[in-house]
Amino acid sequence: MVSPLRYRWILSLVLAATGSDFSASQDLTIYGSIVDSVTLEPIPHANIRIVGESMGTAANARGFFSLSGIPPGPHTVLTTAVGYLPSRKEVTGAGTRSLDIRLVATTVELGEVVITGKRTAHIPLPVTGLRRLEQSQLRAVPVPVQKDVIRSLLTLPGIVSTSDVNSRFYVRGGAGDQNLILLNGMRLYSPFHALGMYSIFDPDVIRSVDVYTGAFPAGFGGRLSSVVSLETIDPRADRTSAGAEVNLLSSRVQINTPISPSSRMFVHARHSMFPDTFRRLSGFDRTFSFYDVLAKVNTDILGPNSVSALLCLSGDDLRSQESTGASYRWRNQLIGLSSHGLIANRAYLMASIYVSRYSAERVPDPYSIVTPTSTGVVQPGIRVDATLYMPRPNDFLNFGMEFVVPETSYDFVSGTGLKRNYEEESPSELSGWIRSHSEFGGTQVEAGIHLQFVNIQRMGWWGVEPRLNVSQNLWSDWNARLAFGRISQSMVTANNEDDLIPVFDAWIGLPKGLKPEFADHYIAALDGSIGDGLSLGFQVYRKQYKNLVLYNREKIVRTDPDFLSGGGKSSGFESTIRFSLEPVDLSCAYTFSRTEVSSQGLNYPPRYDIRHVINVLAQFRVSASFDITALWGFKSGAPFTQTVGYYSRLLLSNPALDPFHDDPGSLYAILGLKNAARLPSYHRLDISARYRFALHSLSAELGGSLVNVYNRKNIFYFERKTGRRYNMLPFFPSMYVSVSI
Amino acid sequence: MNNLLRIIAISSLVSSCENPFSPIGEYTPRLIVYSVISNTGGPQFVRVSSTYGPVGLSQDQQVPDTGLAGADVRIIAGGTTYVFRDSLLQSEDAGSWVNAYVCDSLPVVHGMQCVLEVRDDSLGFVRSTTTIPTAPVVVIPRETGLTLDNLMNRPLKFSVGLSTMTRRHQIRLFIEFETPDSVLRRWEVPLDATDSSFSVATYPGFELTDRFVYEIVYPPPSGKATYHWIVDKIAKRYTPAVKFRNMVIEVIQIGDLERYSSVVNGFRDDLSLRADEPDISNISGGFGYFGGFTRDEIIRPFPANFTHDPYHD
Repeated sequence: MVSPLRYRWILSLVLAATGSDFSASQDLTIYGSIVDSVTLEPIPHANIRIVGESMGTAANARGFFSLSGIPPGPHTVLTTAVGYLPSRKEVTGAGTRSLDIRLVATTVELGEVVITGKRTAHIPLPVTGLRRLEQSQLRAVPVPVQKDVIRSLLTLPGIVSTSDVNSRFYVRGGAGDQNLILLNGMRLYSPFHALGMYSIFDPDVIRSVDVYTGAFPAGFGGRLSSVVSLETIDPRADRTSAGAEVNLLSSRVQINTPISPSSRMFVHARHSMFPDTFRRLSGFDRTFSFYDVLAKVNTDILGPNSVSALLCLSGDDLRSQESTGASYRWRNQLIGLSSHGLIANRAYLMASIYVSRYSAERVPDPYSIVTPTSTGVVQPGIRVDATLYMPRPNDFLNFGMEFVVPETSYDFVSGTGLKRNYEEESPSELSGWIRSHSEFGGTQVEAGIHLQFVNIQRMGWWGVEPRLNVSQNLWSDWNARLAFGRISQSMVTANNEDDLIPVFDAWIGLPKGLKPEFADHYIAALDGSIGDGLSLGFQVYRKQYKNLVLYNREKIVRTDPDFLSGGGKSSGFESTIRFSLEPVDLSCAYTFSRTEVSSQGLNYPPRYDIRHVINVLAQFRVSASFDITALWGFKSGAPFTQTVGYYSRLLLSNPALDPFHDDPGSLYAILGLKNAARLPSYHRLDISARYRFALHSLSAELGGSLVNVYNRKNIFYFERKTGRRYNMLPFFPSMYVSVSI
Repeated sequence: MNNLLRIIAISSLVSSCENPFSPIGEYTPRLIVYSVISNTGGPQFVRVSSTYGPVGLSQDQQVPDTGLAGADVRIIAGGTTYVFRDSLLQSEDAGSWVNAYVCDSLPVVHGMQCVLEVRDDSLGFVRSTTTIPTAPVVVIPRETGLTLDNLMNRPLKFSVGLSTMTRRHQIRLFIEFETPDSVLRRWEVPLDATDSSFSVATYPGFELTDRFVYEIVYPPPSGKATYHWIVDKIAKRYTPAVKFRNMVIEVIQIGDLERYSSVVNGFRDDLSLRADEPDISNISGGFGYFGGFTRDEIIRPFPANFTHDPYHD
C-alpha cells in the first residue's frame, strides 16, 4: 500500500547524517498503513503485535506504522483497533516487508468503547501526560443539546471549566490562553461558538483527540499548559454518503464522496436553528446564530491519501435586542494544505502549510454607551515533521520545524474615550526539535530538545526547552513513568482573568519589557490493569511558572504598565479507574489540584483553581442498537473575593475647582483578600440515550439527553451590586435525530 | 425497588437544594479620612467617617455612612501640630450639613510635608503624609518681554517650571485692567479660537503633567491672535479710559491627589486598555485620601505708557 519509495535521496542524506545502516540488518522490518476495509480511511493509533514475541507498536495519527528488529519469520502480525475486528497477517523471512492492513469495522459503538479500555492497556500511551479520546468516546459523552468535542474533554482528569456556559478550559492550573489547539497539526485561535458555550468541532468529523496535559513531546511548544491535537476524519473512497442531523440548537449536513479515482472529499456544515435554546441555555436575552463548515479533500498524488486540503470556517453573531446594547461577531478561518507519507521504508514525513485567522468585533448600538472593540489574529504557518524509524524495535528519531508569523490586532476605546490600537509587536516564532525514542528491555526513554526562537519587540529570544519521558514496565501491564518538560509562550490574551466570560480573546504579543512566559512540568505516573476489565492510572504533577504575564492590578497612572511579570505554581494528583464488563463500561476520574499565582507580593488562587473534581461516566449497552450513558460531575467551589464592607468614596474629580467637603461620594464595596473564599460546590447528573435503527435504505439515530437531571442549582456568579445570584444550567431536556445514507 | 426509588428521590431533593451562600465576608470597621489642603487661603478641612458592614446582598440595602464625631484630628507640618476642631459645614447649595474637622491656622506653603493623624476611641488610629508642590517658576524671555513693541506685534512666550510632585496642572493667562470707574477686572486670554471672528474660543484646561517645564506661546503656532484680540476687546468695551495694569499667569498644581482622582473617576489614561478601578488610598490603616494642591499667580505689570486704541492701532 505504501509502496512509492520516492525521495530516496532525502533519506540517503538523513541516513548519512545519522550514521544509520539499515541494509546491514538481518532482522525483519515491517511497515505500512492500516485502513478501513470499506472506506479506505486511515485508522489512527491501531496496535500491531507480533504473536509469540513481546514486540509491538502503535500506528501514528495517519495510520502509518513501522516495526523493526523482528527476528526472521515466519510470524503472525496481529492488528487491533477500536471499532474494528482484529486482523492477522503472516510474514516470513527477513529484510523489509510492506504490509497493507485493512480492518473490518464492527457496527456497535458501545461495544467498541468497552474494548478500548482493555485493549489499549496492552500498549500504553507513549507519552506520560497524554490523554486520548477516540471518536466513539467523544460521541458517547452526554453534552447539553449539541455534541461537542471540547466539552467531552472536560471529563478527562486535569481539565476543568469554570461554568456550564463556557467551554474555555483550564489544564492543570494553567490559564485559558495556555492551550494550543491544533486541527490536523494546524493552529487555531479561540475556536468556540456561542460565547464559548461550544467548540466549533463536531465529534462526527473528529476521529481522535490527543490531549497533552503536561511535559509534552519536543514536537510541541508555544503554549504552557496543554496541546489539544484534533485529527479530522478522512473522506471515504468507496462511495458517496450523506447525512443530516437536527437538534434543539442546530442542524447539520454532511456529504462524503469520491470525486475521481484518486481523490475524494467531505463537507460538513452546521447552522444554528432555534435561538430560544440559546437564550435558555445562556440566560442572555440576545438573538444568536452560528455556523461552521469543515471540508477536506484527499488525493493520492504521492501515495494513498498523501495530500490533503483542509478548510475550516466558523462564525458567530450575537445581536442586541435593544438600541442601547451592542452586537458581537466572531469569525474563525483556517485553510491549509498538508502532505504525508513514507519517503523510504523507514522515514515518514508530514508537512503542512496553512493560514489561520481569528477575529472578534463588538459593534455598539446607536444609543449605546458601550464602546466599539475589535481584535484579530492572522497567522500563516508551516510545519514539517519527520520520523526516522531505527533498526531496533520501536526506536525512532523524530525531528522537524515549525514557523508561524502571527499578526495580531486589538482596537479598543480607552477610559478617556480615545480610540486606541494596542501596539505591541506580534511575535514570529521559529521552532525546531529533535527527539529520540529508545527501548532498553522494559525501559522506554524519550529525550528531546525543543528550540524556540521568538522575534519580538525587535529582539530575538532563544529558548532551549529540554523534554524527557521515561517509562519502566514493572510487571504485566503496569508501567511507571517520569516526565519533565520546559515550555515557553510568547503570545497571551489581554483578558482580565477575573472576567466571568471572556467575550474577546484578544491575542497580543508580549507586552513591552516582559520576557516570554515559561513553565517547568514534572510528572510521575503509574498505570496498568488488573485482570481483563479493570484499568487504573495515577499521576502526580508539579508545574512551576515564571514570567507569567499578569494584569497589573496596581496600575494607577499612565506610566504604569498594563501588565506585569509574575509567577505561579500548580501541583496535583489525578487518578482514573475504568471497569469494563459487558454490557457496562464505567470510568471514574478524580483530580486534586492546587494552583497559586504570585503577583506584586500577593499570592492567590486564580479563579480556575478548583481543588477537587470527580467525573463518573457510565455507559450501558441495553441492546445492539440502544445504549444509555450517564455522567455525574462534581467540582468543589471556585475561588471568589468577598465583600467585607462599604463606604462612601469621594470622587474628588477636580479638587482645585470643587470643594471636596461638598463631594457626596458614591457607594464603594471593600473587597476582602483576593479569591480567599469559595463558591458552593458544583455537581450535576446528565443522562443521554441513543437508539439506532434502519429506515428503508437510511441509517437513523434518535437520541436525547437530560441535563442536570436533579436540577441542581449550581451557582454561576453573583452580581456584587445587586446581590442577585445567577445559576448555571437548570434541568434541560433535549433530543436529536440524524439520518445517513 | 421501592426503596431504591425512595433513595434516589431523597438524594435528588437533598442534592438539588441551593447551598447556603453569602458573598459577605467578615467585617472590620475602619476609619475613612479625606482631606485636600491648599495654599488658597481660608480654613483647611478633614472629613472623617467610618466604613460599615454589609447589611444585605444588595447595594440598595446599604445606607450611606455618616461622619464620625469626637475624633482627634491633627496635622503636623513644619514641626508644629495643628489640631482640627469638630464642626458642621453647610454645603454650597445650603441644603445639607457635612461633618468636618476644621483648622483656620494651618499655613499651607510650597514644598511643605504634612502628616495627618486621626485617632478614634473605637476605630483606632490612621496616618497619612502628603507633600505640597513647590512653587512654579515662570520665565519670560527678554525678547518677548512686556515692551510696547512686543505686546502687540509678537507672540507672547514664557515657560513655566513645575514641581516634581505635580501630576496635573493648569496654566492660564489673564489681563488685569482698571475700568473707567476704577474697578479692577481680569479677563482670561484664550489659547486659540476656531475662526478669525473668535466666535468659539478655547481656554487652557487641566492637563496631566508629563514633563517639568512647559513652553507656553500665545497664540500657538498657526493659531489665532488671541492676545491681540482680548486687548482689543477690553479696549472697545471700556473705551476710552481703560488702564492695562498687569499680566497675570495663574498656575495650579495638583500633586499625588491626581492619582486618586484619575482612578476613581474612570481611569483617565488615553493609552490604557484598563476598564476597571483599582483600589487606591494613602491612608495607612484606613481608607480615603490626603492630598493637596497649590494655586499661584505670577503678576507682571504692563508698561505704564501702554495704551491701545482699538480703532487705530
